[in-house]
Amino acid sequence: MSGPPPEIRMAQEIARQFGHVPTAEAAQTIATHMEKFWSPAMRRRLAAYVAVRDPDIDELVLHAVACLVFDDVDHGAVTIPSGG
Amino acid sequence: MTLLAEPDFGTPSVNATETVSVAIDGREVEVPAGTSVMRAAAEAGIDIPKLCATDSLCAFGSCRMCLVEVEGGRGTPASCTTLCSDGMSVATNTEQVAALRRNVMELYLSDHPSDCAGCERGNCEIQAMAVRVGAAEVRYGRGGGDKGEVGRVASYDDTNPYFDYDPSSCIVCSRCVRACGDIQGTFALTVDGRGIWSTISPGGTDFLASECVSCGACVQACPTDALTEKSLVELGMPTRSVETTCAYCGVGCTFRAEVQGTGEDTKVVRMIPAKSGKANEGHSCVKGRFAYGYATHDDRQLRPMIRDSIDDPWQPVSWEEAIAKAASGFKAIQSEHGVGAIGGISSSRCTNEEVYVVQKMVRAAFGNNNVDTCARVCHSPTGYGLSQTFGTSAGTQDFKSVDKADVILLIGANPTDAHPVFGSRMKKRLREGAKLIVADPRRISLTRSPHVESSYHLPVLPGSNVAFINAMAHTIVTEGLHDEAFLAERCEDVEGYLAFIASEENSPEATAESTGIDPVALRAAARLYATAPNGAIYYGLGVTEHSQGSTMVMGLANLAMLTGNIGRDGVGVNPLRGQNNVQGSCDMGSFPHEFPGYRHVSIDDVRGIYEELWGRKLDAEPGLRIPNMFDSAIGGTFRGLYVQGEDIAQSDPNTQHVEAALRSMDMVVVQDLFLNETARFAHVFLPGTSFLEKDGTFINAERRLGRVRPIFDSKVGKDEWEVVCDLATAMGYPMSYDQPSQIMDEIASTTPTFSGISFARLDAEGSMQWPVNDKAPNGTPIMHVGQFVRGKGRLMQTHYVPTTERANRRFPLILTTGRILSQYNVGAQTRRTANQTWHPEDVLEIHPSDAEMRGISSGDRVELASRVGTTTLTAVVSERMPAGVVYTTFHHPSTGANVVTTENSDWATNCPEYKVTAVQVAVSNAGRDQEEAAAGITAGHELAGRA
Repeated sequence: MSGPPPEIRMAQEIARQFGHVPTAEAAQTIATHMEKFWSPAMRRRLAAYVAVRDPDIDELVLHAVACLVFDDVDHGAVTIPSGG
Repeated sequence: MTLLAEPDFGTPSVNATETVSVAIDGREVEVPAGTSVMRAAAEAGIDIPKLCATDSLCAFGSCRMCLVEVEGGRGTPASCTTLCSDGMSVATNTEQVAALRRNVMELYLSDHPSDCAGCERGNCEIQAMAVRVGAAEVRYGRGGGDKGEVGRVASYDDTNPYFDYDPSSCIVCSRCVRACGDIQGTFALTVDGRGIWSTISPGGTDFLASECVSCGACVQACPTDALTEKSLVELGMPTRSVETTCAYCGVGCTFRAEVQGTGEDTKVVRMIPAKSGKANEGHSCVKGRFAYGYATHDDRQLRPMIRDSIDDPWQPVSWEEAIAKAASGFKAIQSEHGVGAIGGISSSRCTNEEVYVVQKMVRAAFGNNNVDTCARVCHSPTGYGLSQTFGTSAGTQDFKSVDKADVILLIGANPTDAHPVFGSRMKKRLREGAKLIVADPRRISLTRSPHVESSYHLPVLPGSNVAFINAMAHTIVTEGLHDEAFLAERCEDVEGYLAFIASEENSPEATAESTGIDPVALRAAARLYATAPNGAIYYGLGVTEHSQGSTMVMGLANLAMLTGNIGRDGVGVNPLRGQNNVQGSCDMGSFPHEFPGYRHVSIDDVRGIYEELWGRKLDAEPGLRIPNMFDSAIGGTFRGLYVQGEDIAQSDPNTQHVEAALRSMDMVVVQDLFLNETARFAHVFLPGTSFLEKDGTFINAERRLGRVRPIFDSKVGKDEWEVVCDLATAMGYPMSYDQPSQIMDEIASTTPTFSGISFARLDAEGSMQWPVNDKAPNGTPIMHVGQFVRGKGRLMQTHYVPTTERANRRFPLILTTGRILSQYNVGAQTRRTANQTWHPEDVLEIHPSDAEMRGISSGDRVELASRVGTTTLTAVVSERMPAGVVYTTFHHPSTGANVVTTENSDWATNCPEYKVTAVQVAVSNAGRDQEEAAAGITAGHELAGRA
């Protein structure tokens, strides 16, 4: 079945949950989530997909990737126990 | 160990602070007020004869064997129904009561077969009791078993696959009837007829056709041979017993495995639920009590096997060859594709010790964090959601806590099927007067069953849970029913949350279109929960397996905090975990981002603990979750997988996607009891061990560590933890332990939550609930007392975001999936037992109106199609379903329910959205022949594997 790459699909799904949050805060929260739970290769692949500038990609995902690239993540939150 | 029956005090213990002193046969004993004379005597070491009394049931007073004399009292009252009073003096063995007992016993003997097989084998108390009370002669003649002209008319009933009913041995003491009602809560049995014609009846039919759920409570309660396990008749009496923990659901029942023989000749005669078991207190279900035969089933694979290609036949080989092939395959992949190109999956059906060594192997020997567990696909949102809000990834209570609940909010769970022993406990509390709110698309049996009826059934539409829970909280807040003092003292982010939840968009009226729930009913249910002295939340996979599963768990936590229902007996947020060791597999560091004890891999100090102990530099970055592994496999970057005791090809969503991922890999290693569906794609098969061979611990849904003890030696020559150590060693990382207790010692030494745990302590003191450490040396039955683990409880703004999986013209129905009582998960265990009798195939439940418009009748074969796949099932038209929603189970591989489920998942944890799939249903042209042919492919695969 065709569809967006898995990293894009997951990032979009996460972004949908933060649509009510101010963009900067949401972007950092999403980036922190990815830093905490995603493997580096997945983060790299996401960044590579985003670099192509697919118009279907949620703008919040673009901002989140920018946070990842510039290490604008809450490292304290990364280390908080989470389960899941 | 010898065969030691647990002591029977005759009547249940009494919980009372006030005590009374009584003298029994001159022995002074102090007991709680309300204690029976029989129990007080037993506690004083005096065993009063009894037949109808047992301490798991309330006193009944029918057998008249327990008569005593009370000083200053009249007559000879039954000691089971006579309560102790302060200063009472009781004589239990006077000439008068001895004569009465002999007379009563004569009457029993006159109606009991003189050649009773149970008396002969020692499983019937009648003959032994006759000897004990001195009833040597029977003036009325000995019974012949056929009852003659005045006897009972019921016939021998062997219809149940696990036990027989022989009315000729029955003394109609009603223990079975009371056990079925009082303990199990099914009320399937009754006494039919009157006087000498009285007989036990499963509702005027035979046992198999009756409402009986085969929990075994009646068999256990029967003092004679009238209700007896078939296995006992076949094998004879057991000679020794071993206490262990059940291998099925997250209740984690304690059993005494009663066995014969030693070594390779050991046979399990029966499994008796232990009264000392703190999770089950002497009760069981049909799975744990009877469905253990899979452990010795002919399908068990006992030899390692290898093959170069998944199209080749399996070749049995030595352990050394199999381990070497797996290790060389993994190393070759890493050499060509990088360290991160392989990973492992641990199992919630394995012990903590086995799971711990898997994650250690992956981190230390594989050199990455690509380890995940099957908890990913069930309760990972529980861990995430409760951790975010309360600070720990676990339920808050012990099971016993439900005994103090006044209102139970049950969401997305069907405990009478999936957690039957807890379901019975819940029903008992409901019969005592607690109120029940059921939020579930289906009308599950708890909404209305004998002596139980929910106050509200809220048929929440699949996918709208968060809207529902927000509406509940909205009602509570806007009607001023929230606990302001609790929020002020115990919680943070309160103001923001209250403002959010009070907004009109969260009202029952505004959310009704999404939830499908009548706002009036929802408001009433919210008021009921909020105003209860003790409101308790219990939930299952109907909460977690959604795209907002984690959000919903946080919503439940919000509701408990809003109403102050946390941190004491009778309240809390309680996940009903699917498998026996879901909690343990998560606790043991099976997640790709956390070490044991939920500590992130990026924390230098924590990583340092393991680097020093394990002698390896460890990866500081998260690894891949299971769905990430599949995606990466299809993408070509993930090439090798070790799978422990999980059948991902059957249990994980979007089967086509999973199979494509497995086919993409160069080395798949499966360790399992059977050649499961996943093994079709494996290159190395490592035989696993059943729970009857394991030595270790499980952690149940109430955080309880229970010992799992081997009944017989490993049938495959190695323990599973040993095999993992061998594989790690072959990968170049020497790993070994002499005993599994050493693994637990390592866990305890490195994980603060478990620092007080050891096998020796569990053996000496019984099961314990974590944390067990210096702060809580005897464990923690209830969490968050006084303060939350994270300090303040965190109220989370749980915005409802509808799933992208929606019904449309092409797929107008929503499929939701679940479980049934007699089968367990993918059925690998229960399908290999007589439990097949009750559920030989998965069926599709469909509402009458949906069926009618498609021309579907019960029994029709129907095609179930989603946007990812199609399967065929048998339809059952059922009003349990709401219109627009269909339901099936996934216990049979031939059905392939997960062929139609999608890759949608919880946003935070990637737990699959099993509960929401848009589908179409139509009468199928495919007949059973085609279906059976498909099943034959599976069977053929397994047969080929055994060759």
